[in-house]
Amino acid sequence: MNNSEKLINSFSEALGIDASTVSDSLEYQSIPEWDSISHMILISQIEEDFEVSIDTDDVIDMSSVAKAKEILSKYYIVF
Amino acid sequence: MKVTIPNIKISSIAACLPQSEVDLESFFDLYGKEETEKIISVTGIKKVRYVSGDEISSDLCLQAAEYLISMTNTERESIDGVVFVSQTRDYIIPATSPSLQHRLNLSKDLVAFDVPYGCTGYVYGLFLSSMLISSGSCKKVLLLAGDVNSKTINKMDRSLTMVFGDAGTASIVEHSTDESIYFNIKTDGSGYDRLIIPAGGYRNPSTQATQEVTERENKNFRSDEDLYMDGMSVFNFAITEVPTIIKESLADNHLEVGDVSLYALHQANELMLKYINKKLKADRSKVPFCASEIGNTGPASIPLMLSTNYAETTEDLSKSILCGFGVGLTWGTALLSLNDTKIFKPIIYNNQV
Repeated sequence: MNNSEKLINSFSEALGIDASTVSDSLEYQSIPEWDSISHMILISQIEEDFEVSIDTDDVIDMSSVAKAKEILSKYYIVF
Repeated sequence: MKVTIPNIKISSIAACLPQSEVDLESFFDLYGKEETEKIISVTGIKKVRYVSGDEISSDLCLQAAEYLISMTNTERESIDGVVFVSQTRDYIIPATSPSLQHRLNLSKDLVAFDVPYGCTGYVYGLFLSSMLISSGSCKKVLLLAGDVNSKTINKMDRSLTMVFGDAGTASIVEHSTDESIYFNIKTDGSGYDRLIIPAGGYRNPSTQATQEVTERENKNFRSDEDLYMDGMSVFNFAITEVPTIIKESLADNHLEVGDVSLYALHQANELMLKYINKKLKADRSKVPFCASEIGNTGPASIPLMLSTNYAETTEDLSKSILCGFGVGLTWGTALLSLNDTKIFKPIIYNNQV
């Protein structure tokens, strides 16, 4: 599984949505499943799946799948 | 607003928890097993305490106060101030603190205030109590802080039901020969609607429409007379402002992060404390979270945490920072020594009294 697939999996697991609905354009609160609580679940899931510790400011900034990739690249995760 | 008030201490602290313990796994049927388990794992809150009968904040605080007065052999006549911090007071009119003076059989030569604040409330109440003593108005103030959050939230609003609990606390604040308390308090009322019960007051009086429970954002259900929290905004506010005010408070007192004995933060949830501490970079053991079987108890959470974790401790608490943050929006710190504070384990509410 490459990192893009891994990230799709993290979103799918954390938000409880089908992997086919996860795309770069998916944004926070654009679907009912991605609310404030599931955002925190998502952050924990990404931290676990990618074995990183996400900075506090990045938690707030991670407002879309595309943004998640951008932020994870700071932690040397290549997409 | 920053000030150091000399010759003040919290001499004792007690807490009272409701009898009823709710295991959050009991919400499997309501929210689904997977969703419920995920929320529990993120918030770190596995159980919450709810009042089960007609008891309310003042009842829980009253029993905490009776216990504290008894355990410390405090003369009732010596208490000349009552500060009651709660958002769930007995009546809209009158204030609850006068009735607590009567119910606790305290002197009539006493000043009584209600402070209708939530998660910053303990710092606000401590500030007001300290001012009353510092000004020479009072010698001994009974600071009561508690909320019955379970009565303000709709069970179908999982963002709140899975986090909040009920509790009451009592502290005695009095003159000290050698201790002082530094306060740093901030207010941003532009965020008044981030944590709000929109209707039932005078701005939006109660009507049939405001009582109607409807589906809101993200499959949560509530009425306009139930508590609403914009979770993400509050999270952003907390993880931005709390580390900043703590660092500012440390700098004002020429302290480094590692010099502090205890960071007694409002016990919102474990995740919030984790991300606040990621910025603060304090030793994790000095930023305790102890609400995993209690829940977020608003203004009671700081003294309740002290009661739960530090009763009869021998640990050095000479440089303790209390930090409340939340509804208003308001946030504040108090830097003080708790070494001479008698802290008692929480008691369970007795409905037979």
